[in-house]
Amino acid sequence: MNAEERLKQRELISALADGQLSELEIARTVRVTSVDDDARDCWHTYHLVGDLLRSGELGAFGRDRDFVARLSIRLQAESDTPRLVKGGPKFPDSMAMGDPQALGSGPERLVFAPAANERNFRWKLVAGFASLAAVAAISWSVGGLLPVARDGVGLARSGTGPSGEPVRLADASTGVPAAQVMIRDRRLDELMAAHRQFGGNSALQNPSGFLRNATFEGATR
Amino acid sequence: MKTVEFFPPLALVLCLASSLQTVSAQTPGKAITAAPQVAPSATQRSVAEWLMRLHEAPRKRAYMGTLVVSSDAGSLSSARVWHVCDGEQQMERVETLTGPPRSTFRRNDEVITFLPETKVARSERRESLGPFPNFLKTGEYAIAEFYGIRLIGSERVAGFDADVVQFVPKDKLRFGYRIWSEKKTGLVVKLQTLDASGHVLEQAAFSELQLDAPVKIDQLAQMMSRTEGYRLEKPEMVKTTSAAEGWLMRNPVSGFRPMNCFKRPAPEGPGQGQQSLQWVFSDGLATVSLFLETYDRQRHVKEGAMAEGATQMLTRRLPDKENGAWWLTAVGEVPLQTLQAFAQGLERRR
Repeated sequence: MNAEERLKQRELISALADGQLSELEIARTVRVTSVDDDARDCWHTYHLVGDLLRSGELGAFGRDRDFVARLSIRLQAESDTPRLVKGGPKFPDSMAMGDPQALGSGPERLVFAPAANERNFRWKLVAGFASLAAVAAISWSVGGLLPVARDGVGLARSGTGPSGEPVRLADASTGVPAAQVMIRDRRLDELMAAHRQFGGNSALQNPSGFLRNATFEGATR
Repeated sequence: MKTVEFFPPLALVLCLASSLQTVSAQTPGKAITAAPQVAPSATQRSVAEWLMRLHEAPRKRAYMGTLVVSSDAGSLSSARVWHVCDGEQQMERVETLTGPPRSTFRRNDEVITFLPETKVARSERRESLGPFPNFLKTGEYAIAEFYGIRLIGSERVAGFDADVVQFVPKDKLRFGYRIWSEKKTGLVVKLQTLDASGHVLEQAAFSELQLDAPVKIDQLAQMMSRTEGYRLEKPEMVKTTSAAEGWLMRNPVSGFRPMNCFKRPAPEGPGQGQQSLQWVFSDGLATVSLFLETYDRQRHVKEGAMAEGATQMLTRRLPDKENGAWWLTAVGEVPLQTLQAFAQGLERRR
């Protein structure tokens, strides 16, 4: 297999690892990989690269162990002096220079070191409190925007009832026990209509009450 | 002295005079120079006078317009309205613009509703729309006992100047009403129902209105009688009394007097229920209907409360040692606590 074909094979394997191949191509690539040792090595390497890219902790592989050990010592030293150091955590200069030895061999190798204050529990607490405070502040402001909950009855807006009318909880004034939400059904619609038709003994019935009932009923039917 | 030199002091005197006049006009308690915005007579009308004015207004002029009813839950319905009065006969036509089409015609207390989609026409006679409201005669003192009146000012609605009048409830058992009454005729152009905190639960307002519209009474009468192709339904509402049905209001709710009691026929279809009783109460402005039927475990599953605009609804199971339980559905344009008071005040005789 010449270099060009090998490159093409590697590209295919990379695509397979990324899930970018069609069914036919997947079948072909898998067949090739199961036969060819080199292709299989390539497959394993790509997976490892992917894992390392995604997680900085899976660094202990072969030649990188030394680097990780050096890094840990450095980080330990950092955590003992919790004040912010100008320029941030110091990585070995060899890494900055792009020295393959420091980074380990293989294509595109980046190690994401854990945060400088990872080991410091105090900062974790602070971060926890800060997120709690943020959540509380947001829910407080959101709670203020919602309609006022009246005594004993929860917030309304249970969405649209079966007949399409928005249904809300009736409000209960002080001292009255909470009432449960009712589901609108045909029977309730009928009774509502009956009330509007025959229960209109009001000085306001003519004409406003009658007109209002005649208009309103249209929406509930 | 030259004429010119007279001007500044003259101008000053004139300014002082005019400012004095406006100050005196704004001072309250001066009957002669009335408050600028409102006509003197409007402030002095009582509750009964206002209600009579609102009731009589439709007799004066024919009108047509678009009425929009909106609730605080966000629902909106509108309808096209025609109204004409010919001596003693009042006719109205309401065409809904929202939801399934529906035409309602009224001639005094006779109402017929056409449902084009199901080809059903429902005809009924409504006492509440009688020629002269009895409760205004006998009960008007009662309305003033439970509602105070307050003139807020004036506002323009649908192109007409209107007086804004508020009926303020004197207790927590009822809602308040804010009414915009057209200045010349007294016609209600906008009506809001308010709860105890002044929050608007419902509003019915004309978005456009034309007074003295060319509405012909015989044309409406003709449309009203056109029932061909429609299945005519006449719901049988048998009038009865609560006593005859075995119900008593042991603890009546303050201000609400029983008005009517009807036996409602069982709704069509299997398993839909049986005959029920509708007991209607009113305090003059607000009405409550108590629907009573025998308790059915399968249909009457859950007690609860609901609201649609200003109308509140409550269901409750009423236990009865002798006859088995009853199921109450209380509906009314009153606060929920009032419906609960009704439920608690009901008692079964015998």
